[in-house]
Amino acid sequence: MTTPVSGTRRRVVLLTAQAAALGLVIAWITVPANTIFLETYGSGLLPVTYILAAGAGAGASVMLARALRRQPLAIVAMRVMIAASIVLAAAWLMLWLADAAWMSFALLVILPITIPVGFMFVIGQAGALLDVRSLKVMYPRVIAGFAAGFTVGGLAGAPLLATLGGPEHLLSTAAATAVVLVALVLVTMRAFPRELSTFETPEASDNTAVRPSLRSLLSNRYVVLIMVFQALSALESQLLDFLVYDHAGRRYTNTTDLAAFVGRFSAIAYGADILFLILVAGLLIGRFGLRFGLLANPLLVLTLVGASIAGSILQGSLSTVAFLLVVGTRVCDMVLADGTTRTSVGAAYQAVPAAQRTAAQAVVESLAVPLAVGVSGVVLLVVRATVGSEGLAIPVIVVAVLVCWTVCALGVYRGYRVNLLDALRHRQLDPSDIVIDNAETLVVVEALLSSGDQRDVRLGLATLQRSGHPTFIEHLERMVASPRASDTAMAFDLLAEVDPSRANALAREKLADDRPDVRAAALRTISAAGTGSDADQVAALLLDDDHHVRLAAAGAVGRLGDLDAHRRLAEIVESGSRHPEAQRRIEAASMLAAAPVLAATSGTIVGVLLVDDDPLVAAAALGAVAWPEHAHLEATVVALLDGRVTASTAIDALVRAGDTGVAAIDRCLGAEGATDPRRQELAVRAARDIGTNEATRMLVRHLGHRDRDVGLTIVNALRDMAEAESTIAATIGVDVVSAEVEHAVRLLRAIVVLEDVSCPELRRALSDEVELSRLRVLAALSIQHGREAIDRVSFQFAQRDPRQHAIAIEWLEISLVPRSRPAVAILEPDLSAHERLRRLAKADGPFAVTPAAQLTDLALDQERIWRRPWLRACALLALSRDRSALAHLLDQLTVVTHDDDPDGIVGETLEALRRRSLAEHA
Amino acid sequence: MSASDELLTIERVAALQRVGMFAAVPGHTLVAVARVAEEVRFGPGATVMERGAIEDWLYVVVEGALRVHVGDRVLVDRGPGDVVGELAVIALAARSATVTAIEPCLLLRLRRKPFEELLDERPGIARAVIAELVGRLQDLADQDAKRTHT
Repeated sequence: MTTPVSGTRRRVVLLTAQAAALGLVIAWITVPANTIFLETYGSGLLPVTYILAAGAGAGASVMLARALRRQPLAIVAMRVMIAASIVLAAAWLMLWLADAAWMSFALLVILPITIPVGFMFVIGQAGALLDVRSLKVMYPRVIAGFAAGFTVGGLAGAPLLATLGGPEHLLSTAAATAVVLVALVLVTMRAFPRELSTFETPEASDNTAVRPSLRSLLSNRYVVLIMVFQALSALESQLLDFLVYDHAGRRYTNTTDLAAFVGRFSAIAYGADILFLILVAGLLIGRFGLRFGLLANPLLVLTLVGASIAGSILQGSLSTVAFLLVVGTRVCDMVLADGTTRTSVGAAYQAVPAAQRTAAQAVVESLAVPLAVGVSGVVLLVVRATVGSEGLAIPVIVVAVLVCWTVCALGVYRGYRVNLLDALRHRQLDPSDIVIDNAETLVVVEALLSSGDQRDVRLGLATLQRSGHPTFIEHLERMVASPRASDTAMAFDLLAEVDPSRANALAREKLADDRPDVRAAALRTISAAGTGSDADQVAALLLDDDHHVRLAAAGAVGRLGDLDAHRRLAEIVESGSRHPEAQRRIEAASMLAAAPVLAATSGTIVGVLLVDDDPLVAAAALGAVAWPEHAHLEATVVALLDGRVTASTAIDALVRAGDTGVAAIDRCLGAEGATDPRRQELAVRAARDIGTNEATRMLVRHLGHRDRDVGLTIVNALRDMAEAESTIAATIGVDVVSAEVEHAVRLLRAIVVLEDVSCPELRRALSDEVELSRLRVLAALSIQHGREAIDRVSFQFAQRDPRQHAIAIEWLEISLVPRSRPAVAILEPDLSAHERLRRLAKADGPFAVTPAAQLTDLALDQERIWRRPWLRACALLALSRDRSALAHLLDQLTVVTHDDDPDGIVGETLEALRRRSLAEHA
Repeated sequence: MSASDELLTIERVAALQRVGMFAAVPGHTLVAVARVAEEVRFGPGATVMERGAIEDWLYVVVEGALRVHVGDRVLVDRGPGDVVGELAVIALAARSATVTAIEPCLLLRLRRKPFEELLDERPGIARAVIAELVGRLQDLADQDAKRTHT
């Protein structure tokens, strides 16, 4: 888990206290409202209160959403609770002084709204005060506060009634507790003003965010899914509640027994609720994640309702077994609703865009839930009026609701993953294309075409071409005659694409132009659009004064010329390749590159030019390498990856070779000995650019390359190839991650073992290796999950705010397969080596290996597990501080092969330490 | 380490890693930089750089202390892990201040050409240098913003 946000404990305590106060308020409304209502009106009117509650809930939702757009949630919560305390006090006075029993009806109507609205206030504050991971672990404790408050309120009800003299007086204590709740919200807001002072104004949201109106919320599929999820949960709970009281009403015929049952039922339900919330819920959610949290409630209750139906069929609906199953189902439902469902929904809100979150919570809690309660009232009235509530009709309806709820839970879970990624991602506006739809736009385009800036001209031409404008060719013809050579060249290139014969005709006229750039452009156009009849005319320009014209002529002769023309070109090239001036040799190589028709006969010349002393000549010759004609030059081409000047053209040459190049790269990567890792990294890039299945398979074979930096380049290449091709199995990424976890454990263990040894260079080298492991893990995860997602994860981890880290960790934990999940401990920033090791290997010491043995293992690397000469050299330096250990090692390390030490650092260090040792003895 | 000892490559790398510009570069990558660096020693009072001089190297301070000054005005003192003269390598500028050793110093001298070749060949080093320069620009921008604010 990431470093929690500061003051987490205080935040949780304050939120729990608020939830407890809310529980007390609700308990002290429930008892008097139900008692007075049932005494006055009986239970037949209860479904009517459900229906009215739906209307009241809708009104409350609209008002709350409006208020939350203007003020922070904590302020709204305080104002609502102040209003509630006033209403409760007024109800108490009216019931006490005026005996206004109708107030109980009103209280029962607002009671179903009070609970979700109260929870919305607490959840909303929790969302602002806790990061997503803390929320998942700590939230059950917050909710337990509500259950504890409710239980205490219920248990205290009897003595309070005895003391105060009537149920209506409990409303006075409810009003007083509501004031306490206001005070607690105030204290929380003062303690965390920054977190709780934000609210969702349209100005505060960015351009791409949707304003949190009801319509915009309903356009967000994820919010709708949460809304439906909550509504189905409330509908199912209400129907189960009814089933319990219906069964109890039929089973207990006198009021005393019924009251005793209700008391026991509430105590058991809320007692189990508290125990589950405190002891189990956090662990379960933390261990099994959000999917479990969302699905546990519907699936378990579905099983129990099925059992209840079976019990009713087998034993009769009035049997004790059927009754106990119904009661047990409801208790289970209440426990899971608080312990897993509410907690999971609280976490699910973290994936709703910040600008919509609180408004969405308000709508869900105070609109969807009351509506569901209302629907339950209608359903119950209809069932009672038709088939009656005694049979299996209601349990069957509950089963249907539970099935829908389960499907919806899966939808929320899928949406959570997708939306969490969106929360990680910055959105960008799509650039809009210029569309020429009127004369004004055409004027703008013509202004671009007459601009002195070539980029403007290119944009203007591209716009005309993309829109298929009828004046496009006319514009191009005009531009061919432009005094600016660059415009002429650009126009020729485009005209050759759209009207080759016209381009060719115009190009012929320009072969004698004074400007070399125009002659070269005309030659390129003829080369692309001309015919054999143009060959003599272009061949004449092989001896042009200008280098670029000669090159363009070579290209045109290569394409259009006959055998004689080709022979003449070959003579010019051959002569140029032996010229003492490097520039002429470069031109000869470039001519060969421009005329691939000569490839079959130019192998020797290309071979000579590739090993020219001047790297610029070699670079030009690389452009002339043709495959398979020049396959014998493969090793030379690969060797040219080493040169600064030749590296990029050597990559191009290998890429042109396709699978022939793959074989060469395979040999380069598998070469033992003196191969420069830099050369191998560049060869990997060439393989990536080749991008064939053969290239992929070859790179996969080298995933465990002995140089871990080269290995990282390979994983990165496979990631890039995975984006273009889907041929790379996801298991490759998983295997790489598992191997990295294993290696990271080894490195971290070495760091921990050596923490008291004076070897700063070695510790730094080991830390560098851990960092390399981190990069390799990120690259491997990119293969599985796409580069964009993992880049966003890296971005989140680079931020200083641990809440940002928490979102990234949360995404990783729900997205990674179990085998890859330990790797999160490698990625998470700001962990000590001990903590990282503890999470990766479930152990952070002490270890059996001694520091001396660890140093010797690093210095010798006999099993080739460290695979880094630099580590060996640093270990040698550390050992040199213990003379006896060094002397022993110097004996063992008499020979260091080049394979083991390609850059010579081990040999060099060894030699220097020997010299120092001798000097000290002398 | 005694003054007469020649540094091992590892020790040079450790000295380079104390410099902000190279702090994030893995040691094995810095081996190449350490190998092209030259060890230079100056006694107290020796002039390490002269203001206005056209030179193409920078110094990394391994041991000792240097004073950067213009005439008698002291700009800053530099110690182990600091760099002086980096502008000459990165931006081809004349020395903007004089640097004098104020105690016995061991410095690593990095010349422009081999350094540039390393930047070409080792993207990791180039990225680290760019990151360091961007960091400095950000610091300057922050300071400027603070000044404007106050």
